[in-house]
Amino acid sequence: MNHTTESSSHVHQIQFTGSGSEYFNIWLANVALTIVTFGIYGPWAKVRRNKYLHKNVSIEGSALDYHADPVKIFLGRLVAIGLFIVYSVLTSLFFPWNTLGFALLIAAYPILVQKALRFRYRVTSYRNIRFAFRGSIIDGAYALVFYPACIVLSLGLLFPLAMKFWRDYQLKNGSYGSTHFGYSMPLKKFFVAGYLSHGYLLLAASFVGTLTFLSKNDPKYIDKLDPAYVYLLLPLMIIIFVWGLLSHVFRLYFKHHLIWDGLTVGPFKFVSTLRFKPCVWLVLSNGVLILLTLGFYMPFATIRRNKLIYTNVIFMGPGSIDGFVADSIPPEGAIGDEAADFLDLDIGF
Amino acid sequence: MKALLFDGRSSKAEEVKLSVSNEILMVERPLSSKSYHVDDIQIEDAFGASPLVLILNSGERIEVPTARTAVDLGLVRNKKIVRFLERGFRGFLVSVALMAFGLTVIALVVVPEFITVIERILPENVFDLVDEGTLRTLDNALFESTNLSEEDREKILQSFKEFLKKAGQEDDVTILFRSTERTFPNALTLAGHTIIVTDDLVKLYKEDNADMVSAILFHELGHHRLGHARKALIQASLFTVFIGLFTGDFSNTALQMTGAIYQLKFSREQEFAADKFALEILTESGADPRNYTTALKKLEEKVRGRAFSHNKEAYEILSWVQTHPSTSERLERAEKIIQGLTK
Repeated sequence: MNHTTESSSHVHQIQFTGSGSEYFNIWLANVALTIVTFGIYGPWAKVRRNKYLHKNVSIEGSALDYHADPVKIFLGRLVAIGLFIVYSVLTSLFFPWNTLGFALLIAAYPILVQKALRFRYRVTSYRNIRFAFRGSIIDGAYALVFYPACIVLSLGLLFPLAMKFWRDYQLKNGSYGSTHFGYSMPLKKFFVAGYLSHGYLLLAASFVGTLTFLSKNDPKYIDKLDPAYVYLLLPLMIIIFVWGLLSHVFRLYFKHHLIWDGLTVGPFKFVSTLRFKPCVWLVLSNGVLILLTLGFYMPFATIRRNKLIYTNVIFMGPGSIDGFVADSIPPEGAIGDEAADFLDLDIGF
Repeated sequence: MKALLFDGRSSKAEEVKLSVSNEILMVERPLSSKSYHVDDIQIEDAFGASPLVLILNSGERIEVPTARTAVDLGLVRNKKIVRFLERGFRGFLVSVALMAFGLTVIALVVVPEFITVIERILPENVFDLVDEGTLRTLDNALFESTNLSEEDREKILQSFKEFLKKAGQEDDVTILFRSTERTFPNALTLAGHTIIVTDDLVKLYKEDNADMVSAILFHELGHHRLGHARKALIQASLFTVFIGLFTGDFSNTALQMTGAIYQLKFSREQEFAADKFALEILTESGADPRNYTTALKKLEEKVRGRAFSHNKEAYEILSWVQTHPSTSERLERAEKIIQGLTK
């Protein structure tokens, strides 16, 4: 669907056509085959899953596609598992490895993230043109290690700055074919988003920190407190709990706006039309249904979430989207991606 | 059949017409046409609402919105098991059956066998190194130095060693004493050769004799000799690696739950096995095996109180989710073992 808003600007609605029941069957087949092959089918399952989720996102009648090679992912996983086992054994057996291992992880972090981003961009295409990531490891080290380390000095209060550095690195270095992405978002929006999404952690940390300081390591300090103080602490704990639950909604809503409202591809730009109320309903209902079904609602939840995310983005620019030109970048192995997944680094889009 | 062609050089969509004859695909463009043998085409079936995709050996891509599979184009494709599983009710049923079968095989055969093999091939000193690390962590987080007198500790160690000697057993463990206010009277066995006893456990039997503590220590020795802590350690690592990371596709659901339930059963069986071991050693050393059941009852009174373990209804429900079996069940089994040993 497209229509013209101004004489020279076209609006292209992004569509998501995935269905919960269809994806549930794919998910179940993935689970079954992964189990009977003792995990070996895992990479093929990952590719099937991502193919389904990509191929059901379309702009102008053409869908995204996912091109990862499961064999490469499988090899990547073997290497990542090997590294993880070596790391686990060394850190549990030799005390100095706890420190040295941590230092190595910190050093490896920007490398893994950069390789993972290159891989993930590269295996995604639209209209037979691949995406690409051109960020350097040095820039990644600044965005992911150096700046966040400096922010620690502010006792974490400036953490939204780290969010901005990460988004700048992740998005400004992307490209579609030979057309570079642009990304611009005012810092104050990161502060609003950051504090509403993660502020409860700061509140909880200051609460625990204050109690630890006052108790002077006396484990029975709370027992000795005047009950009146305990009643005063109760509302604060409730606030932290409720805020913690709401943080999932804030994260979904603000992440969407922070990414899409600032992203451009050549003369085209994205705009988020996501409203807050549907996010509340989605997060709450998905959470409850996943709990009630012991996790088996997960595929339906994924589809509902993706539908909300993609159908609330519009892509607009001058005329049709026929004018993008391909570029050539050497293919990327999957090891960075798998190792990053393996070590549980949150590098998803 | 109408389709869109993307040449891979630009994002421009070109409308083309497709026709198939004798395994040959004809692509008609506005100004030219070209034919391709089916073997030179990579075909990706429609996935959800997405179109059927044909990737030509030239790198060009054709999207056919009105076709779902190659058969719709007039091409013959082999059926694939994955596509069968992903579609329809029969696929769903087969997936569920495969899943149930796979989980059963993993839980009952693969994991226990794998644990035994890994336990055998790992060098003994690896577990001692693990003990060092575990002890360091426990000392930092949970334990403090013992407050027991040198004399009390020596008395317990002497009693334990004498029983071992009488039973003709090797003394291959190091017993350490620690104090803590953060847990109930307890003794625990680490993966290597270390058994930790808390001061509160020793004090619990202060009015009795050192034999009571020895009886509890034999239970821990049973865990050590039967390799329970090692197995638990290896099992935890295996589940982390295989389930959380290898499959990656369904964390926190079916298989993890099976793993957790399996772990409970595993742990309960281990408790019974360690009880049996303790009773046998006590009998072989000429001591009264009822020292152990008395010690167990006293510990239960201190730790949980009597009410719960005598509430049969609550027990029935909770027995499925307890890592340790109830004391009444252990005592019942112990009594049967004692009768067998003293015949």
